[in-house]
Amino acid sequence: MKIRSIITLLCIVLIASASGQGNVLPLTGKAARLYEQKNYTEAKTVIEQSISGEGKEDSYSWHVRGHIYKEIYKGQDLAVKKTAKEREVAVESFERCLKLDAEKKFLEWNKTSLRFLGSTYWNDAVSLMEIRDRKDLPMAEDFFHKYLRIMESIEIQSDLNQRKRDFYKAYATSNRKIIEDLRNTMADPTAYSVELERVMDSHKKALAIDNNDYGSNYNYAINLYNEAAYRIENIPAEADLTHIILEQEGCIAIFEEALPIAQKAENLKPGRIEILKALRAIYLGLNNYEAFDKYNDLIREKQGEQIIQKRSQDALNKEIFKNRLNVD
Amino acid sequence: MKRLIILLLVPLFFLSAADTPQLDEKNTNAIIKSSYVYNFCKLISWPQSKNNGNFIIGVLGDPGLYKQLISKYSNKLIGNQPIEIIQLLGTEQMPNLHVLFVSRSRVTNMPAISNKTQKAHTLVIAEHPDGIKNGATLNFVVIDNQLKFEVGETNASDYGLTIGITLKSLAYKVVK
Repeated sequence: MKIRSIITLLCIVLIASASGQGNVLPLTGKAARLYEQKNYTEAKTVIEQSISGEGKEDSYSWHVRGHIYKEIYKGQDLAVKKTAKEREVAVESFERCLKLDAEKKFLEWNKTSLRFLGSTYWNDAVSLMEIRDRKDLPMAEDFFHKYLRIMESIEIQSDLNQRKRDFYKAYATSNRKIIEDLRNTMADPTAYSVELERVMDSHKKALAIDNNDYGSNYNYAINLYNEAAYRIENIPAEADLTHIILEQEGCIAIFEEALPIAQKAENLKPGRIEILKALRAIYLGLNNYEAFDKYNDLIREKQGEQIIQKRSQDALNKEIFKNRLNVD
Repeated sequence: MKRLIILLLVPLFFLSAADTPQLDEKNTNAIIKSSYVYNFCKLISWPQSKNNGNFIIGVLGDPGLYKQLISKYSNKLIGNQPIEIIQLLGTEQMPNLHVLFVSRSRVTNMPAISNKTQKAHTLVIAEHPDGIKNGATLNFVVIDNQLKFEVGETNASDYGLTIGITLKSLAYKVVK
């Protein structure tokens, strides 16, 4: 028997005895024994009978139910595991046990199991974002919400805000990559509007958590700029004036949205060449020649400084090398 | 118990620096202007004498616009005339142009070339607050961050050009 299973089994048996459950309800006791025998299908049937009758308000019965469903979930085939209902039932059972367990006899055990199930939701969200299947990706956010809800319900002390921010940055990245792939393969650039909405929405959520995060501000500004620039670049050659005027209006609105976000990023990390370039591009998008020229000059100045720095470093390296040769 | 803790630590590996969006910088101003210029060419009539040979567009300054016109419109026609695009380095030798775009940095050249362009029925497009005053028939202006254009009606008739109704109706301003 695997160590994991032994631990789980011990949990149930120990809890039952340590919590003074001398008079375990008959059906619940039967379900626990079936669980011990790894007969989860039968255990599930019996525990369902228990909680729909004698064990309805019994915290231990819900606890046993949680373990049974958790094991069934863990045994699921990978192809269906992500959407397995058993995981939700397990979570619901442990949470119900927490509510009924006035004496907090099962508190730590419930928390441990919920933490485990919560982390499976997190892992599934991460895996979906890595795979980037257009159809399945939205599930990542659902899983993340489930993860969050569980972690909040067991009052996890770690910084969930940082995790939220990181999730939304990653979610924006995954959706953006789908858009980039679609742009290379699609004739109709508006067909990715759902993904685009998700990118922007994720950036807004990341910023709502931490408005002073440079990466969140920079990424959002760049995504906005790139979208407007892409739309302008793809104005058909034969577009008439009305089309051009309307498309321009839409893109100017996007550039206007990007500007304060890029400015905020620059305030957070002044003088970084990447953000100076972004501001230059946005100002050109806004047809603000004066500001464009200003940032163009700043970039040249920066690039000049970098060249001088590199040359001095090269000269220094040469000198060190020469000295070494002399010493050797 | 150890396993449970490990599960919680699955990180966002793919959120590395390489995954931050890269700026895809475009000369958006030039792209919009080139689309406008092509439409201007379609919505203006030139005297009969200009309806043969290539349809020549000269660009003075603004190499970005020149590149954009070349990439998007160099294989198009205006009527039956194939478009030819020329980047002008100066104004001393002015070819027989249908259109001359004068960038904001070259606006000082305008008075000197107005005599030549008027004789050649060249549509002069400028992008300066005093563009129309300096002889341009069409002038780009920026209003609320948007690139719009104004029409110099008198200049058009002085240059023998006929401005279509659509162009006038979409202009920010028609200057008499």
